Amino acid sequence: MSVMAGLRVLETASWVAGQYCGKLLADHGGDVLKVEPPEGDPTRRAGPFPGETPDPERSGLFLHLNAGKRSCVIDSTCDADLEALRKMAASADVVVDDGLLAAAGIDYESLRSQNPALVLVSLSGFGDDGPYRDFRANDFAIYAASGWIAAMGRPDEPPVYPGRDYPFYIAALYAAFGTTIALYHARRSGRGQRVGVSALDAAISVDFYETTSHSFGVPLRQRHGSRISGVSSSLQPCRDGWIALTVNVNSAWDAFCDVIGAPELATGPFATPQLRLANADALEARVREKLSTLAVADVVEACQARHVAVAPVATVADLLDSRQLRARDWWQRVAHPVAGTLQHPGPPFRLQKAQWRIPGPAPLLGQDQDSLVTNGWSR
Amino acid sequence: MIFEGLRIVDLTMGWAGPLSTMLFADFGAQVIKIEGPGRLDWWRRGSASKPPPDMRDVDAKVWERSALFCGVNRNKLGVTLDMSSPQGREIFERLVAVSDVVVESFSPRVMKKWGLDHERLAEINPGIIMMSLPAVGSSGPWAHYIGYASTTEAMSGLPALCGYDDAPILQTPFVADPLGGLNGATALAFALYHRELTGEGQRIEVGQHEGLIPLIGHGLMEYQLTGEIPARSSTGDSRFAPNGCYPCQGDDRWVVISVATDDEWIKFCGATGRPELLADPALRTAQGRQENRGRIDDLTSEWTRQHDRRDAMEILQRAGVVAAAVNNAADLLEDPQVTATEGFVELDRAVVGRHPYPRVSVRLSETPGNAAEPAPLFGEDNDFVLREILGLRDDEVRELRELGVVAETPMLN
Repeated sequence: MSVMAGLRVLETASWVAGQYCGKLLADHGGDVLKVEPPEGDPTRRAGPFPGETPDPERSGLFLHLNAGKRSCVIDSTCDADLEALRKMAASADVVVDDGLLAAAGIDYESLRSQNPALVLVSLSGFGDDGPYRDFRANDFAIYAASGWIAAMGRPDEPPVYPGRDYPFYIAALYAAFGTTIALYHARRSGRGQRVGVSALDAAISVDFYETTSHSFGVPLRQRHGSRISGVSSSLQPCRDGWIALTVNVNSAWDAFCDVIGAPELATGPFATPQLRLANADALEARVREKLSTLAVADVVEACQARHVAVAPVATVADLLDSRQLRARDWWQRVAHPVAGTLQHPGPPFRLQKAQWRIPGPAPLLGQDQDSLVTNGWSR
Repeated sequence: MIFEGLRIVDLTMGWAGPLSTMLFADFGAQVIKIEGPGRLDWWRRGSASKPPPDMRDVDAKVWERSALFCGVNRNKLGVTLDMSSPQGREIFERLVAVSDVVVESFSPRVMKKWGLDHERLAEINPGIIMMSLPAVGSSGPWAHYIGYASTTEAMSGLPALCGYDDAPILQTPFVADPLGGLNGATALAFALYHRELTGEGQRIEVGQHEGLIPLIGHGLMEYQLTGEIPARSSTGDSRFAPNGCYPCQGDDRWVVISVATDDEWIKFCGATGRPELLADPALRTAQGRQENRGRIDDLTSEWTRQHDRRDAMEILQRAGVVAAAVNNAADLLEDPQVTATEGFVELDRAVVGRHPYPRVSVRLSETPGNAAEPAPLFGEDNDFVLREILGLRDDEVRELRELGVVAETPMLN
């Protein structure tokens, strides 16, 4: 069975945090009905697109986040649509929202007077309180505000952009966790509640490492390009790609040097972790010279056979071709009427007694409009 | 508290596992954290990426001084137990019998070696939920791979999408570990909800590698759709300008600015006092601004250099432009938004004193969490757990101490 089987989820969220939260529920059996504006969710406009031609049914981001959900369209200038939205929200178990409800003048308390067990997941960028509550956020702004990027990049260049939307995925996981607690509570008490998560809080929680360390007197981390801490915790290029290594203690470093055919790099000026850190530039040049003749797969295999933490810096192509993920039967093929058949990322975790499965392709914009008219949930 | 009465036996160390159980401790679960008398949580040494301090300095209690350990173990009970001894495993089994959940993050062979796989735990306690958090997964050709945050992050595809044309870089918040913890917390919440519905316990596996890959789902889809591997961009989405990190007053001070739409461009020109740019037809469209990216970056920097980073943020945000001051870890503690929303709570702990830790990041209106108690000291709750929970007699506890099965001072060689 699926743990969220039959759960009625109304997803009014327009961006990644709410939509990944909705995906976690949909892939565990939830009936997720999306409400989109007439032009479609902003995630439908996230490219790049095939042939550089924007198409709301071919956005990689949208297809990833919304497979297996249903879609209907709401025109927020139309009173009948807003009334339908209110009815759907009042008949749901969970509403996942990032601002539409307030914009539509629908408040949680009035919904709850009709449906006391309703759980409202309320997602924001900077938070729904405080001086920045109305400030606009995207991923880059949250990376900046949360302390995430201050130490990312080369020393003489600005902090770099870390990648798309990670704080929103983190917020989504907090939201899914909070939603499940709220459902657990609602089952026991009959009362729903509001689950509030901001992307800023979410990002701060993963960057606590730096903040709490700073309070303990650890010097602030500086930007060191591809190195986190000397060569022993860094990314390094091989003949055909890059590897990551976390090789700090002496025994592991000795083994790493053996594997790359340079036992001398564990002696003299490089004999201890402290020396390796102090002489990192010289050490890196010598390590790179050795690695330039070696293949990623060979270095990784040989290191891991000796319990040394070295891994490939995998590209999206490497991942789709990964023998590890294939052996785990991880990917799920999903056929979409417009975008074609694509391999979707598999389960983020596996529960022995709760099935994970992407229920179907991402919806075409408004394909389930009838659901809105008939107030149709699958259960 | 919603999870009052829920008991979790926690064998995990480092970041991922302890974060997953801390989220339950924040909501009232009794989390019994187990370390070995000579096998301390490795986060007591600080970061895996820094040379370790001398843990044998008994007078300084070096093992109690890790910010990282304190950061992910609040609200827990601290117990020591030598799991490699039969007596230690017997105590562990007695704990399993009176608990709801067991969490472990050893490499896949360890629990089996101890005779404590899920089958055995379910014999002891049929309703038990057992969660494992291996780095890669319990099966497949890489099952035995050792993973730390950076290597797990790398194999999961994030650095290949981050950095410069000629060099990938890592996330400094080490996302792999906290993502493992958050996936674990979500999975465990699902399992508890399942138990609420059906009465059944079960086994959970959180392969940290697999839990991280969905974060680059867009790139995996785009590659399949377009046939092109997404390029790295150190300044973010290169289709827009201005978009990136711009220098402000002071040393190493920056503000992020993102202007995507024509409407935002109009607001940006107004807020920065450059109405003449609006008249420039070359800059009216996103494509035009992209083609003139160098010029736009120059004139944006010219303006930001004259401003404090928070002033720049506020001026632009009040005009409706996405902008944010780049905080470092120290700035965060005095950030106006973080302060006003109580993003950090202070906890007072023996040996280390008062320090700030992130608040409970999920704000639940009816059953809120609470970051109340600091991380336990080494073996701090041995007596409580052995006597009050398991009902051991004084002489039995004394014998365990004499045998070195439990200890309050680390047994380091």
